[in-house]
Amino acid sequence: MAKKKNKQIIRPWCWYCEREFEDEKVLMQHQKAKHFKCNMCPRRLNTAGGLAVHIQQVHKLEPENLPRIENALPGRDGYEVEIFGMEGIPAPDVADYKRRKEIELGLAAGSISQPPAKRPKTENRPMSEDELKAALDAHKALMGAANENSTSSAPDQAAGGVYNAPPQAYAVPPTPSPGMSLPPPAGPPGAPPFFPPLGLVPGQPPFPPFPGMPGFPPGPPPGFAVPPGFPPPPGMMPPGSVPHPGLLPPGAPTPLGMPGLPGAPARPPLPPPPTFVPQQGSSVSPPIPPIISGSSPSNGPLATPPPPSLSVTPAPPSTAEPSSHPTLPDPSLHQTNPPFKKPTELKYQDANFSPEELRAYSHKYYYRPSEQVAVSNEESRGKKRARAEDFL
Amino acid sequence: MSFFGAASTANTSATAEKDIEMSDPPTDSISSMAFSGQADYLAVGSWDNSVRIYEVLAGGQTTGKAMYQHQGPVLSVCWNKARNKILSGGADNAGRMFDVQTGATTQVAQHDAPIKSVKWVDAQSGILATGSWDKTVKYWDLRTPQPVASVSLPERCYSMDVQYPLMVVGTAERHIQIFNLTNPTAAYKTIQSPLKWQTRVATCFTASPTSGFAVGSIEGRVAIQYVEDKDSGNNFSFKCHRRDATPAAKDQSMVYAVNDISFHPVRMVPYTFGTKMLVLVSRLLMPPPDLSPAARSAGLDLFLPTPCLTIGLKDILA
Repeated sequence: MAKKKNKQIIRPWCWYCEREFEDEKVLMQHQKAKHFKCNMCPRRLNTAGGLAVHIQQVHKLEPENLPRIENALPGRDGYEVEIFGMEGIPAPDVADYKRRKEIELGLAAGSISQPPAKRPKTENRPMSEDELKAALDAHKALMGAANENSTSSAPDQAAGGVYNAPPQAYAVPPTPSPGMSLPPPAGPPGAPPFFPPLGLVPGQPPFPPFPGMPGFPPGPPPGFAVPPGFPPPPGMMPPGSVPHPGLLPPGAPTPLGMPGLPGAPARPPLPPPPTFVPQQGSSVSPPIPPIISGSSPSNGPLATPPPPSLSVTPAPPSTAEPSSHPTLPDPSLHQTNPPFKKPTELKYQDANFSPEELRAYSHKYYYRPSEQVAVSNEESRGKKRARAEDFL
Repeated sequence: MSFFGAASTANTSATAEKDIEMSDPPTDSISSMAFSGQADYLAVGSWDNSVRIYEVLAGGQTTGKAMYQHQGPVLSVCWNKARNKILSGGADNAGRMFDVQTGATTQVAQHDAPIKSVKWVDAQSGILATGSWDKTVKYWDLRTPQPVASVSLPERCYSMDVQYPLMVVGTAERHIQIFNLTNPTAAYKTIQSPLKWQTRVATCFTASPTSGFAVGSIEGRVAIQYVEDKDSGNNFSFKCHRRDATPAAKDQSMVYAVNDISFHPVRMVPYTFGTKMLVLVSRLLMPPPDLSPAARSAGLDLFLPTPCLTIGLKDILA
């Protein structure tokens, strides 16, 4: 593979005259015709050494009287170097030629002459949540460090410009933009402006003291079920209301609090919409339970209660620890994969649940209908909040 | 000859250059996307509970236009016929409608379990069909909070597709229900999936008298299935989304799920989307993939690989 690619860049070339050729065969024909041809008879030899011996033996010339090799560059017209096609070229000359070639082709130095970077090892397993997070953090830190002020991170800038830009074809009122959860102008990655965790800052002026708030995921406060047709959706205030792009965290309960809180617009424009900085939550909240449920201990489908099909409210076994694995509505219908005829590694093996189900029932994404949350205790809200933060 | 062993790094990204990264992608994996088909608008549903609407500009760049929220991860999005509303369903058991003219969202559907699939049915004044893990498909006319009709499925709905009047629903336990939407409340036919593994996706061909559908399973296999028995001779299946465990062993033993199937609207060629791979299916004569605006406006969601399973677009870009 590497060989092939390289050929396109560096083709066989003749050491004597530095001409390039399509392939080595042509190169050797060229060398026979141009450089290893005896000028006293039509004979063509294969190498310089062969030519020397031929001239000495057939034409009886002394070694010191040998004619120089024809058509050769100065300094390369001797018989000392035994060249055969591309073989035998002195290493310094090869390196020199490559360097000149690189310059000529406008390639980075070393791109030809150095061995190719080994193809990075790709693992075929999905990255774990932690790895993804770490990678994202690293990326954020990198972006933030590179350009603190203006475009702390590319998405920011773009997002800010984009979603706050006047909508074009859509006659969308500017209000949608606050709903857009933009990455914050992430300053130092350590202290990102974050949707104030009320658990820590109770009674912070801009927000009415919603006791339940820390537990809320983005979206309308779960305490308020959105009835069908309920007009003000999260982050989508009716066109009449004052737009505050950048002020409202998406889905933050503020919209509901707004009517009674006309002062809100005057709020200092600080907390930009909630952020994607994942680390944030960890300081506030208990450690996040492992998310991927494929390896969940519940082997039997009976182990965890909430059957996806049965209920709006699959009651979690304990309020603090909602199910991370869906259960079969009817265990008797448990499916198994048919056997394979040959050894096969099936990447997704669960015969009973779709990947989406497993994911939706994982801790991170598990959705508990609002009524449940409303009655559940404070602790579980904290837990839920942790997950929400985590995923922001 | 060691000289040739040295490779260059040039020209390796020739194909990658044709891809365009979206600016400000969703913050979590993407679950579903839909092109408007009338304008170059793309609706993207994500596991971060939101649906984002992007405009795709002439050069292929995207700009965000609007966004709205679900209370749980969004699992499916679609447009209505007039292309002025976006419908979405999510793990919060709710179906929501976003009006692109006013920017208002309303809840238009409710299930007892997450809504896996929402599809627009181009009948009467327009009907929204929602398929859910609560083992039902419900039809909504968007004006009343009550469904127009509700159909029970044998199992949880995993995939649903509509090409009026054909609707195909793939469920858990490998059931497939075929509906003739002129009589939407009863299944026209119920079959067991021709594939032996969990059904991942079922997609209708473009509407045609000999209509049929394609079924993809978690075991890298796609079956092309015709509705009518008289056409059953044309049924076939093929393997895809497989890889050799090691490059040396030509065993194709690593088998990925087929996550989505789309048909080219004109040529009726299926495209399948698997984990890690986008495979162009060659069985029905392979056209060159094109990204022309014409193809897009034909209502094609193709060329964006509908979500890889756990690693969505955002994760790939991050």
